[in-house]
Amino acid sequence: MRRLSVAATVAALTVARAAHASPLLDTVGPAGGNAGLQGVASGPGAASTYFNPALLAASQEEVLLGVVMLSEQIGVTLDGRRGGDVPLVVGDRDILGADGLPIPNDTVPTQWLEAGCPPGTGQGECPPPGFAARPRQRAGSSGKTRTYLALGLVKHLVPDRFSIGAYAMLPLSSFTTMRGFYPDEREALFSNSLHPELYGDRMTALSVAVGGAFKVLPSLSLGASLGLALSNGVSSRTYVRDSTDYDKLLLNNSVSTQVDVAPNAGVHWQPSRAVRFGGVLRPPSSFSLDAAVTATLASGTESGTQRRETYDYVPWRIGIGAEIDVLRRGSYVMSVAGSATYAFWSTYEDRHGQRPSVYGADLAWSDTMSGALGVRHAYGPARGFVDLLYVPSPVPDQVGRSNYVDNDRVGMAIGGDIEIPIAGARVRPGLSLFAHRLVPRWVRKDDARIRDELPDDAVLGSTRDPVPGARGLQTNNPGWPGFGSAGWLWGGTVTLSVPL
Amino acid sequence: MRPSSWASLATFLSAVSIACVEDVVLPDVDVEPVCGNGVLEPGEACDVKSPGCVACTVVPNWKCGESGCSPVCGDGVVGDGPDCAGARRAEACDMTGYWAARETNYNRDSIAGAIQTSSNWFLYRFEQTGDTFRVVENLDCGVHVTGSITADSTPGTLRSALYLNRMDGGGGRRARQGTSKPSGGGCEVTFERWYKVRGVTDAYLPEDFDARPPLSSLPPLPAVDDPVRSTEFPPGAIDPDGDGNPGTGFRITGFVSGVRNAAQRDWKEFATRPGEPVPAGALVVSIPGAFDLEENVLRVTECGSSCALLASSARPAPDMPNRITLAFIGRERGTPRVDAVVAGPPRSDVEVDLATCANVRLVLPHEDGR
Repeated sequence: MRRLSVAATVAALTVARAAHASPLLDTVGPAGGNAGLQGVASGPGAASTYFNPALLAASQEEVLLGVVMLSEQIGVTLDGRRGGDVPLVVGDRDILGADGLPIPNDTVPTQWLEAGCPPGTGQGECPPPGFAARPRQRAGSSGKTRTYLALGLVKHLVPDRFSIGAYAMLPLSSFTTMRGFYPDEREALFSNSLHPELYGDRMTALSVAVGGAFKVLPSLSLGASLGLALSNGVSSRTYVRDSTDYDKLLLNNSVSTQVDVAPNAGVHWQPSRAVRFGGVLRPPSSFSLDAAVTATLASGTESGTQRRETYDYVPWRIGIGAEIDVLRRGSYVMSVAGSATYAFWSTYEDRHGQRPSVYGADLAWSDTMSGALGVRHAYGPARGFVDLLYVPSPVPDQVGRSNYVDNDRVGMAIGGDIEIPIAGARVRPGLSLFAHRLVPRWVRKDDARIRDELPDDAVLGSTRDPVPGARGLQTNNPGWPGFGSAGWLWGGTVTLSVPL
Repeated sequence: MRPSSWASLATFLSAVSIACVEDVVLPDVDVEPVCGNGVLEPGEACDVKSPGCVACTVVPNWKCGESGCSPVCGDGVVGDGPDCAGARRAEACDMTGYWAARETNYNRDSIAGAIQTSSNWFLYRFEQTGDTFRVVENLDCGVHVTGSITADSTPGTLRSALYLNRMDGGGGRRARQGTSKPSGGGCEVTFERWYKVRGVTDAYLPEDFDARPPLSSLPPLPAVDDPVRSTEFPPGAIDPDGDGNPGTGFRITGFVSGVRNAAQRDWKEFATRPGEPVPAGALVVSIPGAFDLEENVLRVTECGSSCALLASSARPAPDMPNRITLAFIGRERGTPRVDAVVAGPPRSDVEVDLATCANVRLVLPHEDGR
């Protein structure tokens, strides 16, 4: 590798566009209100602002304060390899493909990834400071625990007619992070690891919703809410004096922040005292980042490109649910609740804004139907619930280049609250616990669908001799030759509801 | 609550959670190389489709890379360029030199009538004068049979058969002869009929091979009534492999297994068909032939419940393409081509000759079926 001394002018313009996204709320479920995992038709409260704003009309006026903990224990297991290394000779960058052109620079020796390339100018060394090692899965994402502050409000502005609500879940640490990664062999150049696709940084999304409900009939309410999120715009202009020494980089940034919104719509119908139905429609949302980068070299060459990144993508979802009182005896009421959500995951865009179908039609994601069933109990001032949940994964077996990590999920939640008079106010402390099992999954790659990073017919540029070790498949795809994933999501919620 | 208090709460809640899941990278797999997948893996000398690469081992007098194999020139073999392209014998129809030979014969088992393919390997050194060549040195390098069962010479048989049925003029008989002469742009080749016995004395051979007597006219081979239970050592039988049983031993595997000791007698002869000469100068030639075989099973052992099946014998299948395949090695010992196959002077050391025979079998591997 040659040391290049290049003076360049680089102008980078990064523009962020945002819409509201709440993968966190969808995963954790509502806090408070005895809603369990079925906020679409059950447990009116401040959280209904997001889960079904029409339920605000059925809620008591309250201020909700809570702390939520979510522990994300998703383990990725990479299979051992049986050869397939990109040979060290590729590091000399003297390899030509069958077309006579150098093989792409994103192909690097596997040994560099595993052990690094020491700095130096001799054979087998890289220009200082060298190439840092990136062993497979050393930078994985397992074992993260996060805490959130839950805040909510319900107020009936016009009693029995119009109510408003607000609900927010604010990360107490790792405040709203977004982490891009490639789902294929390109990630070897970065973390060289696999990451759960639908968790991780998506669990730090800022989640704020405000909305209202209008009781159009005594038994029918309609609601709408707006999800709020921050939208960041970044414009960067850099002057690169030396491409091998970024310490000399000159940089001017312009950052703008704005609020963006996305609507939710809900309906709540109570045809009788014992039967309640709910429905909600949520449009797709994401945090997209459009980056326009231009570079001007000292030679006068100008180059530019545009990139779009998509974070926290959530597709169109339609949710329906019902809650039916099956036993009423004195002050004791037992209800059963069921709900289903259809999610259009086939439209998913990953963090680099690409649809999974780019890896093959059979690797496109699927729409999913998830469901929950549970029971609720109410006895005087005390309430409780038990819910069971099943969420299928939209991700097909990753037999090709892509490494989207996701699993079917089965979950259980249990919780309750009780009304206690304190200083003249009837506050309602509550506690709930949940545990979701990510069903173990394992996939073995089809070698024929993996990018062979060193073609069999590659030759040494200097001698035109065949490249030793070029026969067969050579790849740095971190998911090759196969991988498995499994884990748990678990946590709990402590809430305090104070009536207004 | 002040921000610092929230941070403390977050830290506390994080601390009480147990990070019980970690990512894992399983150790790299030390898998057995898969011969035939086209990928050169540890433990393989080659993995390409070429006569120079057999069972992922480089055949003597070939050199292999990742994309293919090419023969080695020299000692009577000429070719073009550094890769010896178009390799051929320098003397088109002269058989003089060392040859690896594989006699391919077909039999039908006496139970289902299924075809069995037999390879019997030899090392030959021929000397040719005029159109006639004769055997100057020979080694019998063993038998391998596939089909309804698989049969191999036992180690004892392999060692003992090396020097039996001499064709080099020793043992009181003249040397086996053949002819090779130019014809129709190729070479017309014959290799005269030769009789062989295994597991019996030479008394069961014809006195005069040139008379070409049919096997049925010769004294019957030794036999026993019940090879499964017999302890008899019939007159005329010998124990060349030293296993304590009469006859020559073959290890049988497949749907039945065990060791079968037999008395065998056969003849084989080979000749190119009129108008169908072998290519002049070809390094490998195949010559059609005829053969007959007699076999009496004298003893079966290590056969469990399948002894009765092992006691049955096979009969020749003359309608099949019986043949001899000859692969030219080189003209003289002391040259790289010959020394790559012939480990030492034949008949001077059994171990050396066994090594030579292993090379011969590699040069012309067993061909199953037609």
